[in-house]
Amino acid sequence: MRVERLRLTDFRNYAHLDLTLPGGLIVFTGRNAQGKSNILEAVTLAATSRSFRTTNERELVRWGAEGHFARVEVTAERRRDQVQVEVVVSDNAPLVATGAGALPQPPVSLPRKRIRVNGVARRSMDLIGQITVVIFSPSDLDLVIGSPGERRRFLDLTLCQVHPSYCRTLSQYQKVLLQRGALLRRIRDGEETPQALNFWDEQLTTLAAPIMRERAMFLEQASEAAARVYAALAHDEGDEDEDDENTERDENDQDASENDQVRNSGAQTVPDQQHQLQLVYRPSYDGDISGGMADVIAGMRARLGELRRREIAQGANVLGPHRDDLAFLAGGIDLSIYGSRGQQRSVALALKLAELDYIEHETGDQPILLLDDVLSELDTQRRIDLLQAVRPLDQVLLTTTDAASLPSETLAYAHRYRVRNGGVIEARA
Amino acid sequence: MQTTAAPVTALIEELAKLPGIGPKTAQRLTFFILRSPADQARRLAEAITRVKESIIQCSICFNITETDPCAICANPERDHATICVVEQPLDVLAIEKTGVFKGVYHVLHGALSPLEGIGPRDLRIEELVARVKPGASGAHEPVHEVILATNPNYEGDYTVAHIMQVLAGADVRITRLARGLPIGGDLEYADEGTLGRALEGRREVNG
Repeated sequence: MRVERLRLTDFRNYAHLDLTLPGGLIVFTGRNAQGKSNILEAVTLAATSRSFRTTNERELVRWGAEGHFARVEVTAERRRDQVQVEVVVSDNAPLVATGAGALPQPPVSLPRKRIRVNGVARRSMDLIGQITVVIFSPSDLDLVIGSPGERRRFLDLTLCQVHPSYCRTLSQYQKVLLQRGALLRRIRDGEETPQALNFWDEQLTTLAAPIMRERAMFLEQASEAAARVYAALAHDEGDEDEDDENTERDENDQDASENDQVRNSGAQTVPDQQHQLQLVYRPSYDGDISGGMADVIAGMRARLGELRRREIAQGANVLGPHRDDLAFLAGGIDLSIYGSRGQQRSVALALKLAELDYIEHETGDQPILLLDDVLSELDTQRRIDLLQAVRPLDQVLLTTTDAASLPSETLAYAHRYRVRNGGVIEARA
Repeated sequence: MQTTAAPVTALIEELAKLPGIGPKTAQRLTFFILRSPADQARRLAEAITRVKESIIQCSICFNITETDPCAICANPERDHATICVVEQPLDVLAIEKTGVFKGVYHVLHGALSPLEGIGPRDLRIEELVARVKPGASGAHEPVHEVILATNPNYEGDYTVAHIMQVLAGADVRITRLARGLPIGGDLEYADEGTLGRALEGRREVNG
């Protein structure tokens, strides 16, 4: 699919923007703080109802916007039809003046976000999946080296875009977690009896099983694509001049001094070519999840029984998909710990392209790929490899400060737009 | 800077505390009351005071009432062997409107929610047990059926699970409301949770 038209009103630094876009590779160039990433952010908002850059949606409203709201309208061409999405975010401005003797202030519960799909009001849960996107930005390195929460968010966002039922199950699961956590604390404080947990154990396991199942299936499918992309990106790793990235790794490497000489000659302690990248699902429930759903639920309930005293003592839910993780292995070595920065970037990128592959496979429509300022993070060869890999895609929106960082061959087929101070102009036909 | 007389501000503030009333509506209501005749305003004030002073909870079913026992509990025409358990007095109104139910009620005044700190002791659950499992005296009419009509959400389901547990061993039929498709609805638009429940609760039509 592709974004055909993007209209912004008072969104970030755009007072008004009306942009019609072609398919293929679209390159937004411009200096910093001109509004390049804001375009990708607007597309993400229309796809997922959330910004990938901030959780404070007030920031999305242009500073000084008279209407106190930001509007994003996206018309997307899908494989079989067209969809129009409108998201309006209000900045919650007070309705009346403040000051002594002034009228009372409204509680901060005004509708903050309004979503329409083809003109019909929808909840954000129903918006997700209408337009699918895969976004890759420098901060995605955190997927590899950051906390498990980052990886769970990645799993959830991918699966929500593909399976609406996953999204519903997940939101129910979160409600159950809150109630169950509160109950555990009440039991710890002697306000209720442990027997009350039986009901919540059943709810938790019934919801956890399909969540774990979907995550496992996604990772199994994505692993192959990720390995393919990773192998292609890493093929020339050995020839590179290793710089300060090695020092970072040494801290984790116990016998670093012994290997110094080998490494200085350019050899790899973490092999690339010999060993495939593997995405390994690490569910917090370590029992068998490949059997029938009823068996998984029963197994997990038994485990909850064993953990009951610990859970009550801690006053927290210790077992379930909210404690899952995901590991990136090559030849049995955990790249999030022992990989070089370059390898870790390749893993993040491989993960994202595998996500794109998976969404396309599951929905029959290709997501829009958003590449936010990622070229500067990659070396020349990886840059060429990436651009080569994404060339056949329906639409890629890419931002860069430096058009010269693109190979001339790429510039020949890319559609270029210049972004300057909240305005976008097509650079060349 | 806008200044408003203190009584006006006070009324707006009080009205804005009501459910479903935002600051704008509160202002509009306040100025409506300001413009309306004095006796109309007085009637409203009296009605509000009276509702607090004269309304009590029925000592049998805990529905809100002016008399104890309430009109439903005192009615010999109703089936006192069938108790419908609801969360709120408003739920009684909703079920009464159907005209289908001829039994009596039991109002819990909430649903169990650990998150909001609402435990079994905060609801009228012990009182329900006392109605269903009367002591050895067996003074009142035995209850044949308890219909659990809590809301179809986690708190409601949890409340049901708890009541089932405390009523275990009682010689009584326990049922709960069916879940499924709304009348006049469309299968296509039903969410899968509802549709799944409707399938589970399907009924024979041929015999």
